[in-house]
Amino acid sequence: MEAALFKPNEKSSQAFRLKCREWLLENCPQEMRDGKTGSEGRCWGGKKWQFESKSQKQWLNKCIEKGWTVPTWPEEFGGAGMSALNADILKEEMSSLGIRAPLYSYGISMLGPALLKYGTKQQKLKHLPPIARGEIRWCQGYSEPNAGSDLAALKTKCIDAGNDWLVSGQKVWTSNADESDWIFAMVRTNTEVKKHEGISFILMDLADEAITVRPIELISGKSVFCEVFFDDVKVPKYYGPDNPSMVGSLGQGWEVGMYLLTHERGSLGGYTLNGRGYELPIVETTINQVGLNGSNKLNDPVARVNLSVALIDDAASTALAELLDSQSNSGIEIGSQSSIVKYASTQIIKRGYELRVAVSDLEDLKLGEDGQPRTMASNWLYSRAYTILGGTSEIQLNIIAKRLLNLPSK
Amino acid sequence: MLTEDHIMLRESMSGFLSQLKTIKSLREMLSSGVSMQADTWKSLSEMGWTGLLIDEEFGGSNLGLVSACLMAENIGRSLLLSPIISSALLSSFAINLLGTHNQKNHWLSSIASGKTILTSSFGNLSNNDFPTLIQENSKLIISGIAPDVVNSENADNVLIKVQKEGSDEVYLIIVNTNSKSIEQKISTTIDGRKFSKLSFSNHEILEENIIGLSPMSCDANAKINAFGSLIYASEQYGSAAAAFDLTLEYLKQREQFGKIIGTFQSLHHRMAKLYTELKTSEALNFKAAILLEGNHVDAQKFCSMAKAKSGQVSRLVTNDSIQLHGGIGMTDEYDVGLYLKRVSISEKMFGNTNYHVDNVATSNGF
Repeated sequence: MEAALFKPNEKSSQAFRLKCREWLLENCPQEMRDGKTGSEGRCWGGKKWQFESKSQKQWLNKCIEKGWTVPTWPEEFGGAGMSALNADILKEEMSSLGIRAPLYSYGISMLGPALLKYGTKQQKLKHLPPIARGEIRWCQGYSEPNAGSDLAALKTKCIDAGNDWLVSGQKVWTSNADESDWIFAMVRTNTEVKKHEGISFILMDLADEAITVRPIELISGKSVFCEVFFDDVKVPKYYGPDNPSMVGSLGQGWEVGMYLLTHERGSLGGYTLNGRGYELPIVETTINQVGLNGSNKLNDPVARVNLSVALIDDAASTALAELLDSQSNSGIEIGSQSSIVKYASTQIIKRGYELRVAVSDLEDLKLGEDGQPRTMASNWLYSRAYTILGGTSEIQLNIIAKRLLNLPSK
Repeated sequence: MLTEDHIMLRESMSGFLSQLKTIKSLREMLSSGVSMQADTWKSLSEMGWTGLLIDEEFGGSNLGLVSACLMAENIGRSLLLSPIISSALLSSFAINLLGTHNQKNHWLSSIASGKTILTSSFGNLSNNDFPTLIQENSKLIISGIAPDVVNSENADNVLIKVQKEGSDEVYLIIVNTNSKSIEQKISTTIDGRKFSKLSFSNHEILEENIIGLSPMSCDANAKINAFGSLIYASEQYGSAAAAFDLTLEYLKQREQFGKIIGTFQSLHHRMAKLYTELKTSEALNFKAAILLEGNHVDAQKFCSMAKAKSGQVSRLVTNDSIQLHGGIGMTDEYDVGLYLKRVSISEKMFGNTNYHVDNVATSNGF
């Protein structure tokens, strides 16, 4: 609701808002209105996907018909051709009714926008509708063991072999690769030019036997991350007429890959102090854990101050995300300012977990019967990753210093 | 939403203030003791700043609370010494909220035109010891002390809180400081602002000087305090942002070890962190303004958060600005220290950072 505060033309959008609400109430199954609007209970789709319930499947199908899994995409590619502003209203209505997103995937949030901008007509027609319908699940092959923050140093080779490309090398930190069907990846097609210019953007079917996927265990226990090995994979240059396996031209991969990352970074806002994966918000948890005295103040005065200051920083970081969001929706280019939001909001989410650990018991830190850290500890340990993934905090600070503050490098 | 209009307003305000050579005036005032020149006030009125929050009906432009924040921010940036915040923002807001139509017509019209400068005494939230209002037969008498009236040296009229003898009722009243039964003692704070202590000895007022002709409700009091917090949050944000800009320029030209020091990554990261703090603080000010304007249920909490955030950020930024300037930052001749002094005073207005951090905890139920 609060995101709407910065929004213009609130009145003229009212009719659309009512229409959305009416359709949602009529078509969304009751089970899908359980307020699980975050990562929990997500429908990811793909060939290996098992629906959690009949209503999850039913809800997906209803939205596919309407083009509402990807409301802003053109209708011919499975969307509803909706404006960004209206799509936001739809999202707000869904969130205020506690309705789950029908489908979430990297195909929707990352590959889709890149294909819409750089893809050929046939590439769009072949790849976008299966994404919109949740039939094909994609993963992102960017990072490598020696190319993390310095992504452009990536070495996975892609050699011209007549009708095919021959790909060999390794990707790492590939989220959900073990549950995905296809991978979009940045590969090196030229070693003779500057590192950014020798990269291409390629689409590969993970069913190929020359590709091996191995899940990674983290300090927090089991994780979504995988390593992906390419052992001379033959990738056809064309999957069909006007449907090349590369997006953009040879050597344009960095540009395509970065365009997609600006989408990722934008979607990386929205981290708050409450964190993810907990039943109760941080204020309630702290009160339960520490207790209140007779004047309704936390028994732990240090926790009281720390929590209050953190709530204030959280409100400020959220206000900036909302402000930039509203500017971006009304057509103002926000550019590298998204790095401020990424930096601030990931600091905040980590701080929330720290505050929870600070008031937790020894019991919370014991391993469970399955030998894995329990929810409290596992979420906290995993949260260390927020300031590393999607561009580390240090990279965000470099971007802010160079692009927003114009501080010199030499 | 920060509209195109707001962005234009911000630019025109900053352009106007840069012509006033505000820092030069501040330095002159600090050495001579003579405060605001009459021609500055005249041009502020002509630009419409005095009527920024006042209805068109009374000769103002009523541009709303986000614009009020932008004005306070620009004043903080320029270090202008003027009763404009008191008169055009704080007093106007209070009279608009509580005044009768006649009072609005009289005072707001006169404030908007710049004829009346109305300052106020209620910025010190830790002081609850108001002068006493005594009813003697048909007369209304005030006795006691109103401390910390900001910029009253330029004003004839002051808005103060008084407490009715033998009751909890608090009234907001206007007094004329030229009266013989009011003694005024002026002191100057380290940033050059002036505060005065008004001592009332059997000072008689008329009923019509009571804003709204009745005691202030808790709601109205809380709303005025929330607005005051927001305005000083914006003012101190503006001063901190100006100190940051000055520091950024300095880092781009200062050379040591044969290099521009602005090339060092440790300084890049430090500046990027300060910038993040400033941008988030600024956004929180706007959000609080929008919520307050819409009478949102969380508005007061957000104003409190805005003041606390901007208090922390402006201390951090102005202190680091001096550190990053090195030795020259410690010299009085260089401007960067002026911002540190300015924010240290703004921070005291309408509750300091600690007060608001405590307030936020309480309003969240812990």
